Amino acid sequence: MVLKATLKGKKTGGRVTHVKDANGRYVYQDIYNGSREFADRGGTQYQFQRVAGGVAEDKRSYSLYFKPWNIVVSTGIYISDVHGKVANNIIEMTIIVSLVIAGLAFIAWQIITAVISPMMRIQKVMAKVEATDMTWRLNISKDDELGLLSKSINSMLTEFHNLLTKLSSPSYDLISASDSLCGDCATN
Amino acid sequence: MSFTLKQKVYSFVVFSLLSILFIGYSGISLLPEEMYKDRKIQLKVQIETVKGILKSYQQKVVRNELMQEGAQTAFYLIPQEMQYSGSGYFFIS
Repeated sequence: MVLKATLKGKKTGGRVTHVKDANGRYVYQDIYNGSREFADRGGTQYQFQRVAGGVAEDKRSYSLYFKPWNIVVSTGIYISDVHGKVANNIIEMTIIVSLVIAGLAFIAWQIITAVISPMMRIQKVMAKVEATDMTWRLNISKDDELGLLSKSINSMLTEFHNLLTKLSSPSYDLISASDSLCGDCATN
Repeated sequence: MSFTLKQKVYSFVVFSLLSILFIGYSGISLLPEEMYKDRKIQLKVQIETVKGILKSYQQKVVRNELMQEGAQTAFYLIPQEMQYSGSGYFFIS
């Protein structure tokens, strides 16, 4: 078995029948046997040096046996290349997921601030009103739904306040008149 | 059991974040296997491409347009230039 062709710059023409990988397997014989697996095609896994004299790495190859010329055409990948690409993709995905989570958390915080805070303020003002202090009003800082609600509550409180003022004025007059009448009674 | 609006909004947010994390984790855990499968398919496709070239040379031999030795010499020059995906290359034995 002779290496007939490979990447430009690499040595060809040498016998490769007895070339072993780091585990002592005959690489090219395994590739040949692998190529006969199914319909003259097949895969083989072995260890191979990326560069001459380098560390042997896990490699996966796929081969085709071409009967008319009695040759095996093969190509392969280093598993570490796949792992490298997986690591890069994981980093990319982690960054994307982190950005999405940060964006979602920010939007949620904005919604909570925009809804909960005005509602808490409304509740606080209504508690003051409940304690018969009708002078409290809501600060309207936004024109959203809660801003409109606050505006309506302010209008309602103003109306209530005016109504109570009107109601309290005749009663005050009545009390004054009653007092003056009682004063006259006392002198008589 | 009654929840305040704040609790409901927070629950929704936490549920959404956990869902995104789960989907992200699932995607990441499947990624190595999927990429490996994808690369194996790529190897098959590359080999089938070369087989097409190989067959075209063989047909020239059958049609007596080329001698088998000449066809082989011409074909053996092709993989030298066929590098793909950075470190991918062909070898013929």
